Amino acid sequence: MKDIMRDELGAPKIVDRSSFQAELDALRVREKAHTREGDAIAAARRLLPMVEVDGTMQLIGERGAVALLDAFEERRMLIAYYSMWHTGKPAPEQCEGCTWVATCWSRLRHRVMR
Amino acid sequence: MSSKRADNPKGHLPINTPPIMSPEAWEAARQHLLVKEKALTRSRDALAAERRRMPWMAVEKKYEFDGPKGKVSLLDLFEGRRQLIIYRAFFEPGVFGWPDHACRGCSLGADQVSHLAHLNARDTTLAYASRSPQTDIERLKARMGWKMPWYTITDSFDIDFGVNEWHGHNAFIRDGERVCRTYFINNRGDEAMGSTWSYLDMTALGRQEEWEDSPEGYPQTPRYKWWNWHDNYDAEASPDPKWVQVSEAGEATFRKPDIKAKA
Repeated sequence: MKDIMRDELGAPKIVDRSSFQAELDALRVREKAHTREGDAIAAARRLLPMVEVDGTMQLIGERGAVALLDAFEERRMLIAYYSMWHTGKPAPEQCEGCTWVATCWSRLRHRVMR
Repeated sequence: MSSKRADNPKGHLPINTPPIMSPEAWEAARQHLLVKEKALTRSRDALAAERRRMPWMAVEKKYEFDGPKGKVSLLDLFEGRRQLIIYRAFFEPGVFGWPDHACRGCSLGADQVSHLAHLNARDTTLAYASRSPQTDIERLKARMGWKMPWYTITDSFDIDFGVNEWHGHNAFIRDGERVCRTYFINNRGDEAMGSTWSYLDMTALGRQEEWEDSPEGYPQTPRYKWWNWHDNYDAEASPDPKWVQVSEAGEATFRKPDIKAKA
């Protein structure tokens, strides 16, 4: 087996436990700040206004037609992910790309109730 | 509000909710917050780039674990792959839930481990490790429907890697038989773990995609192209040309709104 550390990865610095821990502690400060920024953004999301949606909007579920409201399954909140699907085609013929890429569009197309 | 909603006490909103606005006003507020969301995503990418520039800690000691087929070394836990992530889960006498269950937090974490085929496709193995014997681990995995490899710690591995009193993820890389520790995530860092991306972002090599800011010479391939269905990686040694075409068309389409927004 070739020496990946030396030949391929440009010989990363290999250190002892105490030097590693010191580097880890230094980066941990940034990690923590990132976590807190994520919390702050989640707090800002909770302050976003809401937009009213027609709860009678029809969806087709496993047991037939249901209203959007039914998709809540009695819970207070619902997260809807829009996954693209070609009607009538079996799973292997579904577009792999759309399934991944649709992540970007789903939030625009669904006015998800908060 | 429909009558159904009014009949359901759980459906009532708390009093101090934000105002209900028009779709246009909501979209404007969302776009405003999206600037911060994007900045956070980029700062996470920058953090992962910093992790990839960490020095590596040589692991000189020989550790021994119990596995389903008997004694194994730390090197064996790699399962032949280049990188290894070990999560120390608390499952042993004295932990709340024993012997029926592992620690609640660790169990919640185990429930959100995504399909490992994607991680494995980037030459990285995920393993769980606890102090309990293999017979109990086997029973727990069957009960909870967990599929990840799960080993028994038999020596000072937990003390040496900061997971003797608290949970945590340690990342390792190997070159032949030489093993190095490359990163460590614990405390609240663990709550974000579970997705393929969270695991790859803590490794020395990252997602191994061309867009990443990694040191010179690190293995990288184009994004999207290496993705596959979890049951199809073995069948396709190199990206299916049709998928390459489809992913390129998809990317071209979804990047359009970005272009418009910047214009």
